[in-house]
Amino acid sequence: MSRLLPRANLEGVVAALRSAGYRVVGPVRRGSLVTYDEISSAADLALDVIITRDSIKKFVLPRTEVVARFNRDAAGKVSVLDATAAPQPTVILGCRPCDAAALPIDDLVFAWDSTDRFWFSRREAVRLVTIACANCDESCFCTSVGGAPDSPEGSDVLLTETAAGDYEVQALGERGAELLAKFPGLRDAPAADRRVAAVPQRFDLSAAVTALEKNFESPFWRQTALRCVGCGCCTFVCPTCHCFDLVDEGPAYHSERRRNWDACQMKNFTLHASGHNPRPWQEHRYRQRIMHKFLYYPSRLGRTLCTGCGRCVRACPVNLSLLQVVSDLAAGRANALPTSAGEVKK
Amino acid sequence: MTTLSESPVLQESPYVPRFGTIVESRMLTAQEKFFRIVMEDGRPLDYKPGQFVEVSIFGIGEAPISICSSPTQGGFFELTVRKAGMVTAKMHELNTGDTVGIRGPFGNGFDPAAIKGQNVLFVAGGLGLAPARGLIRWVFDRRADYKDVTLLVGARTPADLLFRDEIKEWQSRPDCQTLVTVDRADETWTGNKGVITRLFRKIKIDPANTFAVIVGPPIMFKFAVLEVLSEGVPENHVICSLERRMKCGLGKCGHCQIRNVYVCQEGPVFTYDFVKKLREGI
Repeated sequence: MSRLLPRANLEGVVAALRSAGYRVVGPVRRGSLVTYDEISSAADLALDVIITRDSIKKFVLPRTEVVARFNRDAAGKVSVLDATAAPQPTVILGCRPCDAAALPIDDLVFAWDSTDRFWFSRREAVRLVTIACANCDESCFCTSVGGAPDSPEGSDVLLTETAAGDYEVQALGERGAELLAKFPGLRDAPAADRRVAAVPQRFDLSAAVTALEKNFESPFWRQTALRCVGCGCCTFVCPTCHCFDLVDEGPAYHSERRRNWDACQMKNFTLHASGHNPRPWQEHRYRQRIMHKFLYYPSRLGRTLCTGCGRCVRACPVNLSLLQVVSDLAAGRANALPTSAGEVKK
Repeated sequence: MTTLSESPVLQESPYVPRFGTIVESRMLTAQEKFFRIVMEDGRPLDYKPGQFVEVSIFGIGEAPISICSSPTQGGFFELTVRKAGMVTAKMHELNTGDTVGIRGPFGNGFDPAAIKGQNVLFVAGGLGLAPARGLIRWVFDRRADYKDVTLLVGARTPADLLFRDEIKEWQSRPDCQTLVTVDRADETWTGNKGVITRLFRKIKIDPANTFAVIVGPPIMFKFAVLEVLSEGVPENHVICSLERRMKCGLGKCGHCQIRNVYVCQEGPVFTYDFVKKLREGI
């Protein structure tokens, strides 16, 4: 036996969660894009799409957020004001497993050494009701990085579509059970056939990691990154990319310190005041992103910084596919390149 | 809205600066200004030489600045600020009595205990003299803890030389050897000419008992390391301080990352045998 949520009851779930005080967000159509945004009815949900353009990251690490406010009085005396507003309790309905899995991975960097209370206060306020993927496309590669289209990792409630179009319901942990208790119209039903995508394994992760360890200075990076325009698109759509900048904005007498998304693909990311840049060329910055995700982060914090959502593959304006690059590495194509021949004078 | 002094949450926030009052300021060169700062809340900055702070100019932003003093000298700390960007340009407008925001100290800093009982060779180029000065002053304040002390100081031109009065004082000390050179001399300059590595010809190094502390621009570092290694100083006795574009200081924002190391946390001070393995380090 399993717990079943009839598809028709999704509307009741949205209404119940909203009346329980949650902001309910989910995948919605905005023009030609599908993005996560607030919904007022289950009819707003675009559940037929494989994946949204942007990830759920913005609900935990907003594009921009105020971390402090400064007031300067007429005498020039500065006071620092509290910028912490309690985050809005939010349910993400129709989250994807590859998005949900990203949050526990990023928890590691926001918790090591010191705890980032901006990240964790939002994390605490956000509940994830994930719908397992019934379909995938050629950019999906969750199964290559330890995930699965029906993985419960990071979710509070997991819904899996049945052959009849209803949802099998699974509560995960205390938070999940508490949330599921608010769902109306659940019933017990015999286990039915589940619709779960068959995501093929695209590369051997450990072979890719070994190749990265060996190929820091391979000409592979120059050849690969030649067409990278350094727009940073891949980092902004990525559910695990978490680098940020701190900037002051507003007039001097009433200003804000903001934390904004930043990207290692930008030249200024590492540029020193002296003009020296430890990553002067795009090949260095491209290498950094791949190395960080598949070698540095796992070696430091124990998890691969990628969930295989494939967004960076879909979003890249020059078709520079991370999936292809990591597959090439795993297949030993970087090793095969001579290390000195073909050097380009910079 | 509550203010810093009223809100315990705010006091704990790692992104909220404390206030520091400038108690002394003066121009060292046309581009570099010196500040002595005391924390306004009376709680002194608990720092080690070689650590850095994030200095806030409220409404303009933050900049990572090396501490150039030693905690052996009192309840203040000192900064040498080169005018290079928006924040540092604004800092140059500040004078004694003005307030800045301070977060930190961040990073590991130098470990003066680790080089105790040894000869210390300082190689400081340009603005690198600022972070090095913290340890230099520590060593002079605890002079009996160290054996021979040699200071090699380099600047591009005589006008770029920092802490000229102090250097004169160091040169007059009988318990250390201080050599200064400039890359490009002018008619007023009577001292050594040429890049800092040329000073190695004039000194004697006892490689087995010497720690070399090298701080300066990347190009100087590369060649200075070659000099001390060729003298036979072991790689783990070569200490350097790396520059990175630090932002958060907490090992989160990603800017200072070199491979799997956060320079703002595990650095900026490393031994050469470690830096060498980072490859992207210098």
